[in-house]
Amino acid sequence: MPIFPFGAARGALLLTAMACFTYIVYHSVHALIDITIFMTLSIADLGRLYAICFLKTICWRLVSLYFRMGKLTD
Amino acid sequence: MSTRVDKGSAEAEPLSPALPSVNPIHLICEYPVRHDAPVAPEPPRKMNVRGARSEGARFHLFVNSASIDPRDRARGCSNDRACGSGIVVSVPRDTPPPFPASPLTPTPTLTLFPRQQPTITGLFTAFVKVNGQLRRWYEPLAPPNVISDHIPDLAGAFHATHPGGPRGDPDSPIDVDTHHALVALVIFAVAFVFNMNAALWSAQNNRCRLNLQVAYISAVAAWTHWEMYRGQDWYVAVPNAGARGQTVSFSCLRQLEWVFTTPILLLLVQNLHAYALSSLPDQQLIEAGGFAAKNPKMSSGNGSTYTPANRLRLVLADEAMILAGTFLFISFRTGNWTDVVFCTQVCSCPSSRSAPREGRCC
Repeated sequence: MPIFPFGAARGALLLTAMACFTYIVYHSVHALIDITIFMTLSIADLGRLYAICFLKTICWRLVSLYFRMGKLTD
Repeated sequence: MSTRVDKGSAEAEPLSPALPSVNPIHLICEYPVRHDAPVAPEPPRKMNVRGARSEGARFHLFVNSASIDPRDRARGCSNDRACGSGIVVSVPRDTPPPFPASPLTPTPTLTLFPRQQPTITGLFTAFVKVNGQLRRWYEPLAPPNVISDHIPDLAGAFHATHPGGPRGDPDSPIDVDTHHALVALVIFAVAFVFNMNAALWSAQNNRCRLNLQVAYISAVAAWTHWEMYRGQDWYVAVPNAGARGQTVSFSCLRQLEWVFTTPILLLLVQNLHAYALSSLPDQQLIEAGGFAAKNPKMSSGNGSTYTPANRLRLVLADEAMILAGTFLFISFRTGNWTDVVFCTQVCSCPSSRSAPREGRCC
């Protein structure tokens, strides 16, 4: 079974989704890196920022991994 | 140049011309208001009446809600609810600010929440209404007992299927388990309560907006998992759309959740950037005195090289990504445009109300 069947519609949709994803991730990650480098926030706001970064980058991956491991061990 | 700063009710004069008279309390807790900071000439700005605002203007106001006007910043009113919220009240230059920007005398809260609160309440209500309406509308169209059978595992292989399995089957690879949905509901409900509490107790308007945005995202996620816990998750199924003619389905509730929350999440990052780098103490301006005041690039005070994104373009890119990702699976079978059109026909053609049960379309 072809996992990646090529086609005009699929290719166009895939390129659109990847272009949008790249644009979004570039701005989000760049903004977060910019904040972490140049900010002088209080310790409370610093904690909130790192919590957001943790949730956006690590926590969701762990949740996904947990679900997949749960399914694999069932 | 005089470096006199406002420290509330008292005036402070520098002990030496080389030393700026900055209250140490302000350096620790809050930044001082410079009365001698240059203010760019501004065109006359109209007083907006909230009731007369169009929907586009409201969206623009919501999108730019946490961006801080440098002119407001120069006036030292970043804590005021009227500043940075699109509501501009013309105040004579010589009039002293009504509330000094000092932590010892925090800005009083004019209303319980800023003006963004009705907007996010409306968005949450729209999410609930749209989800309920679409589910009721799709129920007669849905093929019975259809579950997708193309969910790949870690090895890239495809699960063997649950053809004809009941919807809501706990062994299904795509249905959310009731226990997991309940745990996620509790987590997001707690996050919602925390952020509402933070918004209620926040004396700064910009922080309050950030908390309200996170509370909105948590509320939508909590409602989504509440629906899943009750077994109200619903799938849009497209028969014969798979690579081998299988039925392809996706959770429309999850898609709607992403449509309603991810744009706000992206705007939240932009607002956080604006809040962190625009409302901070202008240390270089304070330390360099007149030099930084004469150099606008230096007076930005943060050295940031990131140019914030066009927010409307960011939201549109996010929605386009979600839609493209959804139709990507539906065009899985042959990869041509007819499959994309096929998906729209399933939901739009009147005769398709009975067709999906027989595995064909109008």
